[in-house]
Amino acid sequence: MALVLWFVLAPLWFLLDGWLAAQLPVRCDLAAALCLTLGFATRASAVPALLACGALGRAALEDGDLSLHFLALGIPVAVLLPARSLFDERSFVVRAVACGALALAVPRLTVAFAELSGQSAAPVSPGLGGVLATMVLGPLAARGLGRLPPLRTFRADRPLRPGVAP
Amino acid sequence: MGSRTHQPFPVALYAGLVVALLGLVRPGPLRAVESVAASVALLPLRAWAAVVGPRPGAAAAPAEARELAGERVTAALRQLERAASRRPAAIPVDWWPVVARVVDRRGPGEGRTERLVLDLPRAMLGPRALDSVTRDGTLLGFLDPHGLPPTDADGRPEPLAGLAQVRLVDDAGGPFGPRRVPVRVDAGERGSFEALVEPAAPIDRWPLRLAMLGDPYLAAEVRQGPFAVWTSGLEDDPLGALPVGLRLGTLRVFGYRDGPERALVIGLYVEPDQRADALAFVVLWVADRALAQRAQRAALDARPLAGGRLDEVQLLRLDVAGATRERWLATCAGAVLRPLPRGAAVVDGERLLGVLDAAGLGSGVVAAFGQPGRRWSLTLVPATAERAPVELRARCVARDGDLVTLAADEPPPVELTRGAQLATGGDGPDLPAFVWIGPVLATDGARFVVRHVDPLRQPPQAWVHTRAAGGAAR
Repeated sequence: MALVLWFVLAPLWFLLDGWLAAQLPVRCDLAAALCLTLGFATRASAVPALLACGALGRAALEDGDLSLHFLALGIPVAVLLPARSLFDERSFVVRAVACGALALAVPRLTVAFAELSGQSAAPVSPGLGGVLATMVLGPLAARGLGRLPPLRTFRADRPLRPGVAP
Repeated sequence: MGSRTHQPFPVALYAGLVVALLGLVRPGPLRAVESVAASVALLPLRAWAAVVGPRPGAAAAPAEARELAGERVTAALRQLERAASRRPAAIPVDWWPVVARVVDRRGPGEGRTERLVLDLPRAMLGPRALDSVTRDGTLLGFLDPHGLPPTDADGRPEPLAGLAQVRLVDDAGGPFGPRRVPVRVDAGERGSFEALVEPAAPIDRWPLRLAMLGDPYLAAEVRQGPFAVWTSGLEDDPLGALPVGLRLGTLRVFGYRDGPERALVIGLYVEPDQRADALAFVVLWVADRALAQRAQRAALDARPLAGGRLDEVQLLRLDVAGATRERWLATCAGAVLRPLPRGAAVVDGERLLGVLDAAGLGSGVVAAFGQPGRRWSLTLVPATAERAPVELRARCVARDGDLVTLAADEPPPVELTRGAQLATGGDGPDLPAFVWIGPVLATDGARFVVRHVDPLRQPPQAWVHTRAAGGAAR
């Protein structure tokens, strides 16, 4: 049920992204916040389905098809998931750095895959202001997204890192 | 130490990425799933549009302007028909031209077109059609002896079944392999030599290459042209007679340059005069005047949207992130479950507003014309009736209010763009050529500025155009 709810709510997350981009002087990339939520705060087994819903929501509103957005969002998530074992994913610094990297990576991956497949996608540079805004606001947005229904249903148990007592 | 509670390397995600990569290369099977899923995912937005969405209002463009545009487009079509059907010297006088609209371009990927589907049933032409297909005296390819089959390569129903199909000269995948064309190359003062032209490899810079050189010593001495390449014909060609003297393109030399007079030639190629991915019309030749006239009436209607279905839609503006900034949710005003195809034209009368980018049952998301990054096939209709319309490919660079800046792949002549009107060049069956876009205001090399009504200013009355099912459009 939670997955169905996320399926219909995912486009609204990207609509919120567009609405905020129109209202704020600098853009906080909510696609980066979604990747952060899926990579750091979601059960790994649930990630593919949640990612497919997110990619579909993004494909419905922006240039490019489902495959393109699944790859553009999924590759950063695939990098973040194993990184849980290496870093304290609850640390704000780690989350901010990850958000900054995602704000740079997701648009570039989108354009790269669009060029590879001959689809339309205008290159977007987030700019320094956009990256900083995503570093500050992205972790907060990701925390909110992960704690609210429907994604809270899929929250990961805290992983164990080497040297951390169970 | 307890057991880990998460999987460090999620195999399911990696498998999903591989499937997505395959879907990127071969999008067909995933498209149908995506269309249905998008219809469901857009349901909350449809509900929102039903509550707050605008009702169809007055058309944004005055009726007189649309009428004038319609007249101009009709006149331009006639201009094009007259210009395109001029008989090249290579075509015998007892063959008659049929100007046919290109309804779809097919090939292995973006930027590489190998086949053109024409808006004309193949059965109408019968066996009395010349298999050479031309445009402005240039050989483009060969008419397939059969119409499009009822199913495609994946076994799905072919919506354009029965329509005539042209295999371009660079199509390597015909039923009998590529058709090699015997040519003669005028190499300037050094004389001329004979050769065969065949499709080049995908990695090559030009789509055609010269093989089986009649005089390899002369060919090795050839410098960068421009030297024209003409069909020369073979006696007893097993694949059928080929008119002698049709232009094929321009000779291109690939190799190492060592000073202005010396070069190490690695390969000789031909650059076609006509870009297949921009072509909106081609000329067929028929050995029966009455048949040619009948086929011409069927092939070229003055109204580009005639014969198709127009579904009235309501538009709701959506803010989106990224360079596009905005999209429009189109909701069918009538049947709520009417399937709307991706890539269909969204029009206001004769004028293009945009194209359906994500589409499903009864709703879709419209990308307005002028959103940055999108590439379009376009037709430039010159202001003077003496000049024929020109097809080109261009990418939208920016939009500022009503003004859209486009960058053409190849700069159109300045005298053509001054005072010209811009229309579509056809991008798929549901977005036909010659739907009016707006007047060209300024030109700077390859860039030109077009006035296109900003849909943001007033929610326009809009319709989604879908090509009529089956082979014959009208």
